[in-house]
Amino acid sequence: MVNLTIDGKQVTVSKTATIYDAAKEVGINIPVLCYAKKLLPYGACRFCLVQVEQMKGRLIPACTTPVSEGMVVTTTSEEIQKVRKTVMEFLLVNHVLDCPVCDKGGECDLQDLAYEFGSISNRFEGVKFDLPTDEINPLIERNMNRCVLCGRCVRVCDEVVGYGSYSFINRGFETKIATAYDRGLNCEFCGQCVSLCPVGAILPRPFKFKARPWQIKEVDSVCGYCGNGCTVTLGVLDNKIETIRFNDEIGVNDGNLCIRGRFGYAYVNHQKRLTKPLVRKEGQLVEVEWDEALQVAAEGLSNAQNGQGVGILSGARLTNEEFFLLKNLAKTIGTDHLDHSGGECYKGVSEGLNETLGVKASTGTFPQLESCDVILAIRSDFWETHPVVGMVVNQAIRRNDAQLVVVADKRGKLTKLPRARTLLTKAGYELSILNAMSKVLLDEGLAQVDGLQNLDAFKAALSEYTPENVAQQTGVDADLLKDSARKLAGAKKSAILLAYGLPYTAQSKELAAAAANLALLAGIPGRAGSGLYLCGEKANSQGAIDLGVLPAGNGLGAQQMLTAAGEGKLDALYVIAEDPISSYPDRQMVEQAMDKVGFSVVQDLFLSATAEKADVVFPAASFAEKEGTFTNAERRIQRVRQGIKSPGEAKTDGAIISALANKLGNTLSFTGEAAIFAEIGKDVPAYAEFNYHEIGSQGVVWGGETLAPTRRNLVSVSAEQPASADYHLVTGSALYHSGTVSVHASGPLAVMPEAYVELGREDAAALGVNDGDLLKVAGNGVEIQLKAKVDNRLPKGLLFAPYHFGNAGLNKLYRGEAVVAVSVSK
Amino acid sequence: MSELLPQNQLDEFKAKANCADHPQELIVDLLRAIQTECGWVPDHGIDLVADVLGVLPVEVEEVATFYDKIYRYPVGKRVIHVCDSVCCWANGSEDVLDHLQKTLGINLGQTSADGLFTLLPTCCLGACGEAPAMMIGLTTYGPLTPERIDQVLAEIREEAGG
Amino acid sequence: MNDYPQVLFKNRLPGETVTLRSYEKTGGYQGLRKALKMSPNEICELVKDSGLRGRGGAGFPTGIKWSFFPSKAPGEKYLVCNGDEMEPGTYKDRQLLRADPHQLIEGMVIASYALQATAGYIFLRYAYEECAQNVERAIAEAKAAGYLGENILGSGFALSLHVHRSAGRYILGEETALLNGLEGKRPNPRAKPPFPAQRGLFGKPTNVNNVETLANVSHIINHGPVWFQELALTIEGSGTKLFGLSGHLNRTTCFELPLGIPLREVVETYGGGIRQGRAFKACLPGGASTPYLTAEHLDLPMDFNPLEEVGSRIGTAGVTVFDETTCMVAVTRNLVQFFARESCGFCTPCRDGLPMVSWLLDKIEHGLGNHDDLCLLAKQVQNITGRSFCALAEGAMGPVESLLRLFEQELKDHIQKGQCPFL
Repeated sequence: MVNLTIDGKQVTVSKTATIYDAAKEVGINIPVLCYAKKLLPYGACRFCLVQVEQMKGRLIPACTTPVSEGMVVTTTSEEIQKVRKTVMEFLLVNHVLDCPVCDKGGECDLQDLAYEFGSISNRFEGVKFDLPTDEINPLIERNMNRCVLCGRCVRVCDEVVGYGSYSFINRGFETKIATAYDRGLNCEFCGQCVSLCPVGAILPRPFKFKARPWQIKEVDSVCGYCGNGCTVTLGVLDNKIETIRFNDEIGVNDGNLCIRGRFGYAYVNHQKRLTKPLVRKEGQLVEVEWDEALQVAAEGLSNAQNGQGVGILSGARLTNEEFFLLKNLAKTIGTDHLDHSGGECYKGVSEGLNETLGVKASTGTFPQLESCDVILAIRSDFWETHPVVGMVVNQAIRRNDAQLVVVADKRGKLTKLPRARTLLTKAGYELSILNAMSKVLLDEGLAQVDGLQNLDAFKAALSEYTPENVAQQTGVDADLLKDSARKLAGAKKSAILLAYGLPYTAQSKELAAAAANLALLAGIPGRAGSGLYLCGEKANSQGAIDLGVLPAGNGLGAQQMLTAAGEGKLDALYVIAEDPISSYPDRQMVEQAMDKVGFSVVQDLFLSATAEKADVVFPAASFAEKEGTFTNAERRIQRVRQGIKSPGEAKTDGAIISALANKLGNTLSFTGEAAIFAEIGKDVPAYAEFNYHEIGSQGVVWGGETLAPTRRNLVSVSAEQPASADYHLVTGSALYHSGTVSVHASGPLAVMPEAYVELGREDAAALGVNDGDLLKVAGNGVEIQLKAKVDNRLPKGLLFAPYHFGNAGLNKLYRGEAVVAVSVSK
Repeated sequence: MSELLPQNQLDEFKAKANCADHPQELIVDLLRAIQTECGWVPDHGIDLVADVLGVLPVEVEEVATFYDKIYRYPVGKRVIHVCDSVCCWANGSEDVLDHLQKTLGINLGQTSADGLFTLLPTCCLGACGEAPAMMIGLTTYGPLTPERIDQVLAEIREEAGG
Repeated sequence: MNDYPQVLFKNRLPGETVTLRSYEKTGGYQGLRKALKMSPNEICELVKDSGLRGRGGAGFPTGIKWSFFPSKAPGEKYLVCNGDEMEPGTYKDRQLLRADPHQLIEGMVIASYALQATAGYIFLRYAYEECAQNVERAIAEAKAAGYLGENILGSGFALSLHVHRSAGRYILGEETALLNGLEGKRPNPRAKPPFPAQRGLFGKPTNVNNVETLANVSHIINHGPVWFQELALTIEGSGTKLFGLSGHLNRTTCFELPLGIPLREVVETYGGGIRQGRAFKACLPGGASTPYLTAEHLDLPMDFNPLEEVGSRIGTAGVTVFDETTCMVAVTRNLVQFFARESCGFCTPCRDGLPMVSWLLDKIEHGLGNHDDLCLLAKQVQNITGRSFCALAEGAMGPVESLLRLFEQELKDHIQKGQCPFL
């Protein structure tokens, strides 16, 4: 720690702090323009100049100068103010002053500083910039006439996002910020540059001329899409979310967002939102009053006693409190058939991790990733499923020289990061590579084997997984594989990342177990700073596991429920916050289940394909319309806050579930989410230590920063041989979408409007296919047509199609296998 | 790609980049090589550099547009850089420029109708003892008089014509 | 005609470049042989004792700079020679590398040994292609003779040298911008700290010295610090200096002269006096960023301290002389225009401030200025000096500050007459 004096106040700060940080510590605000908390010090704008007694003769930039013992700092004086005012005048010489029509007006740093310094007149004259506005994309508008060249957009895109859309071009007075060849912005549209621009140079187009900043009510909540759990600030005007804002002061994940969080909010305001309950009458779904719908549903569910009773399928976007109520409802109904997210994909956590480590969650937290030396990411799609964790990985690489190793069947953004090493495998063989890496550690004596159970059997089971064998099988270089294993074992702090979700169903448990075995041998679980991360696809995937939204006892899992329903053995299905027909593997099976089941209730935001087949449809509330908690993929429990009222008569899932339980005779009632949260603690001990009202802006992490394993058991798992064919199809997440909800959001749709099948240039050339051509893809006896997207991400023989677009019917082909053998033609 | 760089040079750069710890350090060399071949650096030249060195096109662009001896726009066969820094200015660089503009019929920043000359300013060439000076290609000429300028231009025209 | 001892230019012949053989004949690489028998620390101490100060403009004592270098740190360490000679009025390094490039090579090997650097880079500006070829030839010759490469002269010390050809921009002369340039990044200056000695080229400890500075090293080793100190005419000074003369002089060539030589002698004896028999009005003593000297300074010894005492700097000792018919407002405007154009555009005072100073000077030069503009000009010198990210903008204010100090009447005449009085 270092002691210094700032404006007469004594400050003690860490020796890595800058003068700016130290001043902030004691409540002294030094004006800045180019400084941003999450970016490296820059020092370009020169607003933050201060006097330091020990460095007389010049003014010192507070934002780049580290503190030193005994420093005496003055942050304002006549001289300093003069210099700052001059900087302001310099900036305003060429800056267009179109504040009246600039959306930034009211929260513009330049405007605020000009006001502070009283810069009314300018003693200088110059030509105002007259550059064309960049409006080539639908989401982000760039007006470089308003730019102050602080470089925050350039830096965040590089340092944090790792995309590198922007750079400075030209020089001196002609310096400007440009995109590649100055052709306009075409990027992944995370909007981090929008969030960081201190002036009106980069603005969100959907929000243009919608409201003045001071008219907007800000509500901090949690993004409703993926398990990353980023803080979003809802910008609300007249009960409508007009924009999503950024908060690096209080937010989780440094206020970083991806396109989904930043621009994917519009589904909440969508005109097609369900606003009234529907009941099927004479074959048609018709709008009815709540009481009638509840009555019909309650009767339908209580009458479902002939066969195997009622099955409940939930999505992972309910709050923890709603999950609790749902479990309660299952008890009231008297069914053990309760499951979520298709029932298979999460088994890596509920079974894989449980059998190896005795825990059912990631063992580390996301901020710890940034200081890892070696990071092993399984599947390059990790960036697509959890973009903001991807940003942390990027920061670990750029700021701390971390080595990234990616085991994947295709290239992606992760594989393009600096010094990233890609073990590009034939599709479906990730598990073999992990096994081979485990074998390398054991054979070379690098493994930490103390206290590991089942070591001998595990060693024996690995005999076939020599690096050479696996290399031959997968196409990965054996030496690279060995060296990667050594690096992982040799690291001071290391991490293994694996995402799961509906499109990643095959061998979910086995793959996670293989990752956990490797993690155990590399000494990762339980070691501070290191972690094995299994990250769920949805906002509350972890909460669903924690609360046990799982089949109880002999209860049926999702797949079994659907099979039973299809065979006419299940009496009723209650589907919540999920559209299985669109998103579950094996569409025919789901359709048949919905057709054959005696009675079905669907509860969702939209009249989904599944809802269309239901007997009763309840209109549900979005994440922006409810209170409660989500638990993200690093075990962080965060408060979800209501920003707007639901449209029409839509109700929260919790309210609907409670009302239904009442109808079914359950008299239990809770006054508010806090009471339910307290109740959760009785069932889930890890939650018991927290009080709902004390969950702050950073949330609370159950199990601590490093979750200690309760067992260290090696579980032998072997790879299934994927089917062999000329072409293999894999599915997964695309960066721009999440599940099937984002296809109702105009932002992501503007960038990725429809389904496609991606193929490499080599295959495209062989097939004579160009970008945008319609391709026939046939497999599992079904043929579908998809638009071709040609690029150089995929190796020969591999096709990729994202699973978000239900109408494309991808899940007619995909039945949960790792790869689908397909034939392709034009 | 062949019109950007002869194959052997391209191979050489690729080989160098492959074994270099920091391939990016070759950016300026590669840009200069492309310029020597093409006269300037077109957009696909930026792409080529990015590709060979494994960096993003914007990372090449921000470097390429920084230097004044890298041309990101088409120029004449020979670029005349007239020094306008203090020593040359004090010795009549404005007259040199006037003479060049009149003789070539172009203003600063323009290219002569025959496509042979582009006229650009430059800061000090380190030929202060021979002021006023100009640089054409990698050759510096000074001290300049109208006669000397005419002579240099004539030599270059002859070289280009022959 | 030069009666002073010649050290750096002793082998210099018009139109020729010294080969390894002739360099060796006059004692070349003896300094290296001697140095390799010393400890790195002894060399640093010797250079410190010699009083050698950086010849690139800033004049920081070389031995002290070297003593800050973490020579014992493991891993790669670099020595970089700054040959981006772009300060207007400066062409000494070009002369040196034209005439005798082996001095640089020998100096770099000794310096690298003293710093325990593992590789060296010689950064040369675009216009100096001839120098680049000379240096490359010298490197090849030195390598063949065992002065470079693995196990130099059997000492076990190894060094490789690389030539980097730049593509033109003044800011590359700033050492951290130069490092970015070498790395192939956009050559903006870097924040200090960390200083290059801690985190320089490719993030490794790096020492940057000017061509002339490094060329002096072998001579210091060969003849000792006392000899070097005695080369200067001032008591506290050390060594000779290459003076590149330019402007309105009869003779505008580069001379090696002792530090401390009176300005008058430089102008009259070596420069051959002012052209057309005119009177001396002013000069830039060491490049475009050094404040003017006037006739009252003609008897000043040209050395670091005496010039600093009168508010100027010796800089690169590129002396640009202006005769009595020169408008100093116009000269200053030309200089500020140069700096404004060469600004990298990173920080506000330099990028947006220098064009405004240029605008003010232009206004005054054209007779459109008023008294307020003079005040504003004076204020801007204060508001820019010491406020920018690197030294470029501060350097630009050197001539402006001295214009206001030394030529106040000339500025006022512009305003009163409503036009430039020299028209």
